[in-house]
Amino acid sequence: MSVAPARRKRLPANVVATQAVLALYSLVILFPLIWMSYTALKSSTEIFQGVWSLPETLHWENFANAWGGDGQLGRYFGNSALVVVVSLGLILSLGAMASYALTRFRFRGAQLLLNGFISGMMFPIFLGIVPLFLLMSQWGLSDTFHGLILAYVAYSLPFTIFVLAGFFRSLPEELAEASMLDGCGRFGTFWRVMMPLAKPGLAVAAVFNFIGLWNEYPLALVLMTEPSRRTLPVGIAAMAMRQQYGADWGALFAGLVIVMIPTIVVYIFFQRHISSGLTAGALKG
Amino acid sequence: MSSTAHPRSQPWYRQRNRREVVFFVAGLIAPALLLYLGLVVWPMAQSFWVALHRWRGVSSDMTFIGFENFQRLAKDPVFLQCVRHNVLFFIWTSVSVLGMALFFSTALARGLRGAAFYRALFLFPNVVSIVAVSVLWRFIYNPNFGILNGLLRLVHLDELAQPWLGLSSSALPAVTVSYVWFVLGFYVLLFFAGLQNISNDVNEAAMIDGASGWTKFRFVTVPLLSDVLRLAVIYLIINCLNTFALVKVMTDGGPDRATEVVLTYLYEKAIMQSDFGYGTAIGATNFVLVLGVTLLIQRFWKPSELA
Repeated sequence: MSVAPARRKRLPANVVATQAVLALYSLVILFPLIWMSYTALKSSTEIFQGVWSLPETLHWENFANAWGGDGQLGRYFGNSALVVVVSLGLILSLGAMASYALTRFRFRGAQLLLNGFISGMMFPIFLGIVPLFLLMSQWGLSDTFHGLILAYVAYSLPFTIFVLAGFFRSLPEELAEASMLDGCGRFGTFWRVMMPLAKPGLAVAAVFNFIGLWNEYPLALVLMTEPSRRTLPVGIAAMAMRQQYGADWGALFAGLVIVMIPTIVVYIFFQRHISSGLTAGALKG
Repeated sequence: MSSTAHPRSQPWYRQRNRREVVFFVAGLIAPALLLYLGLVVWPMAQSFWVALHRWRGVSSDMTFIGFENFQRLAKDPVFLQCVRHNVLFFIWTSVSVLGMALFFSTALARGLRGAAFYRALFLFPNVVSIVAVSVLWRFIYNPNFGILNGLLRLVHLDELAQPWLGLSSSALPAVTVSYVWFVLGFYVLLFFAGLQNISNDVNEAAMIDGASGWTKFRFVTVPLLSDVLRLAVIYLIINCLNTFALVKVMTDGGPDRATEVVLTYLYEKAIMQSDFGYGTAIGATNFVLVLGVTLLIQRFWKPSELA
């Protein structure tokens, strides 16, 4: 960070102006979120009566309505939870297995395979989405949870392997030797010795994959069209688009709040990791 | 080196162990590789093949038509409109985001009070999904109860209050504003990290030479930021040319295709109308476009040697 030399007179106006702009932009970020939150507690009539008015009574039932009843958000939430949790489990296991094998065993083609996986990060989903959609229909996987999960796992592997390869590479070889000499066996070495050591890498991969999959839209939209099986992003988008024609706006706002809460919570807990991870990956890459 | 075994844990001449290791390694890699090849690589490769056919979903009826789909694309007024929208979207977004991110990141790098708090706060919109942001801004732009019109009416600028997403003239800019709100924090963070890397010596040398704030910014900070700027532009190109969810949820390409972008058009053609050949041609073209522009930038915008 730059420090002004002692002889330079600090111009207070400069600093004050900057602070003002920073504060102003903070408001620009916070205000819509705050507005969304208190509007979620208004009744539909109140919403139309006044943009700025605070709710007279707190209509907590908006949240209940969004969750169950017409809203269905509870179901979408459950669908997302199922898909994301299972996908995460598979992504971390398969990703760890592959990165471990490709970084700690030297054989012809190992580097090629590794690069092949990692370069997958550069290709847009939409390039393959139509054939993928057709492939899934052909195999009876469209509109199924396992179909979507498999797609999610496949598309998350490049990034995950990229992250984990770095970690596995850095683990000392002597450890594997020692563990094998102790009679641990190859898979045991991997699972019980190496994996725990790669925990930081696994955590980074887990957090970023969670956020990415929880918020994922195009694949879920294309591969899961059955309304009752929609994931949360697709669900809330459908709700917002449907509610054009006079409906429960209060519940809609409440629904949006519900959708935002998990990622905000995850963000608050992992904020430092997320910020440094985002830029470290970007700058080193 | 053709050894497959961890160098020191078993002697290479033990044939049985070698096979064991091969199976082990293969077993570890196989599941990931199969999924990746089958669901990512194969469909993407297939895309280029399908794009050369006319195929409307009846499985046996796939006719090879060479580059006809691409010729049709080149003359398709809707497609050209989409490309125009993506390009405009990119230009507006880049100018706003790069300008503001540079300002904010340099401000924060100066060690102002609360810098860490601001950095964390600015990233907020980016962590909440693009879908949630799109829905939120649909509400903000709502002509009746949205806060944008509310704000305008509050300051007695009622004439300016309009159905932002409902008019072709304002729809695309409106969508752009939401995107900037969503994404600015990421770029502030990116530039901030880049600034941290800039050597303090260079800064102090500039100060001693008498370079004042603005001059120093123009002739020292900006050139050194060139690397990060380049990366930012590449990200912006990729994200703006590949935008989908934002438009789909906010306006679904409307009103009257005023916000239609390449990928929403792809969705319409391929998924809604089952015009698979044409749809994959759109996808392939978009991919090549993005790749081309990215490569051009890589080639003509040289990374600085100051890394």
